[in-house]
Amino acid sequence: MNSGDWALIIYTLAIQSAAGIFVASRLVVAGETEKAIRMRLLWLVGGLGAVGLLASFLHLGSPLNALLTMSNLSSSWLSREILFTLLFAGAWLVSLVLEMRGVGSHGLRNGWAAVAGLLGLSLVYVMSMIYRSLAFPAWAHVSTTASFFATTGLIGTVAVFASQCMRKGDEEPRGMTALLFSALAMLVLQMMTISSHAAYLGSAGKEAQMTAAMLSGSLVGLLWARVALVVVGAAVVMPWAWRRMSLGKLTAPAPVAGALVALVGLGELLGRLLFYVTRVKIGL
Amino acid sequence: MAKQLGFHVDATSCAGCKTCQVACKDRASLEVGQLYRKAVEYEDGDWAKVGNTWRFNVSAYWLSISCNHCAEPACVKVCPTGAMHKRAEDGIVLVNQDRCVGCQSCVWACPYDAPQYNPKAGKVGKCDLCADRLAEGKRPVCVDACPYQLVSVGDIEELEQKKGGTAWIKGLVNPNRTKPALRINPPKGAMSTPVGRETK
Repeated sequence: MNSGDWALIIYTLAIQSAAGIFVASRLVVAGETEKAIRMRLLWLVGGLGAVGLLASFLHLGSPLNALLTMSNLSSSWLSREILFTLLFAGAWLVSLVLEMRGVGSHGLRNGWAAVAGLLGLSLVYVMSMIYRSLAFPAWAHVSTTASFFATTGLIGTVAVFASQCMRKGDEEPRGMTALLFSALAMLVLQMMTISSHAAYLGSAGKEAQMTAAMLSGSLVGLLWARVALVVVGAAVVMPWAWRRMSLGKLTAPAPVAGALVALVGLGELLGRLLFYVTRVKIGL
Repeated sequence: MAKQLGFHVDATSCAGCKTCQVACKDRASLEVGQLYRKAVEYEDGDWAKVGNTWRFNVSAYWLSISCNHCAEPACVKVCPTGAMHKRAEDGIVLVNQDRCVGCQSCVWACPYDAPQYNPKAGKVGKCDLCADRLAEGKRPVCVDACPYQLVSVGDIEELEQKKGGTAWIKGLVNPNRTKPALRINPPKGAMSTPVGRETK
């Protein structure tokens, strides 16, 4: 692992978080009409996108040539990633302006949000295909794509759930049950991804087996910490908070929301760190 | 069919003196940690039970390797700016430094570790087959430097007809992935079946 990998860790996590939060938050507020509610989390999505873009520039050795990076859309997944990053960013900006100025009907704004959300999810798919390179057997598997989508869904649902815990005044929480079960579904997907990836590593050649040896040897503590953090966050704290909110007994929502986001966010950060650290390239 | 230049390496006699590596590094004025041509040692083997005894099946060899100017180069495919490109007239894979963004996609993609990232320049460089020397009728410096004259350059089909060789020996990836313009006369042990591994 080199210092440039940190830029990629931040970029991928920030963009996947932005896409997940955008999709989950637009689904939760789709039926709402009040501006303040519909605007919620849109700025956070923009902030995460900005952090991701900045990190991606730190990864480039000659960022002044960044304008040339869409020159090979026919075969380069990186060119496609940059195109979809710009498309998602543009769609988010239009969505923000529509909501801020109340332009068009709610149906139109929801429709545009659906387009922007699909662009965000497409970006996650394109991003995963960069890593499914035959040069790194540990990455050349469908679990890479599944894991990126699980991260997107998990962070998105957990962050929106946490924001609903933090609502102000008499505002009723929205979509809490759907968010909880969506997060649990994403957790199950993430766990299935980890187990299917482990099974794949055993049968994908010596380089993949070296990755497996790292994950089951010197880095096994980090792997279990990653699993424990997301399980405690999404399968323990989140259902507990949901139950307390249902009963109207969640007296300290801020620490609970903070703990929830911290647990799942840190767990996913560790997962991404392991993803980069354990790669082994083929060849001499 | 257009000419495809490439290297032939007679690895049967390579002693790993690294003269080719040093000559290349000197010509390209490479930073510490960067090599356009490498003399690498491959080792493998294990203990195998034969009857009631255990015997070892160890093999090792030296190989001089650089960019193989592949027919289907992975580096060209992934390069987002088109900086990495394949020259039509002779098949040499080159980097246009003016377009390189330093994303290192090519470094990740190449199964032979040919592209080398220079953090000071923020760009990638690689073996250009000493294209300027070829244009003057000279040979690449690695070819000239080898004291045993084990490295040859030329049209890869002609080299194969004259000297034979293969692009798939132990330690190298399946050549069908990128179709490298590389032929190696394999050293003893490089084509054998190590314990528990597949034959190449």
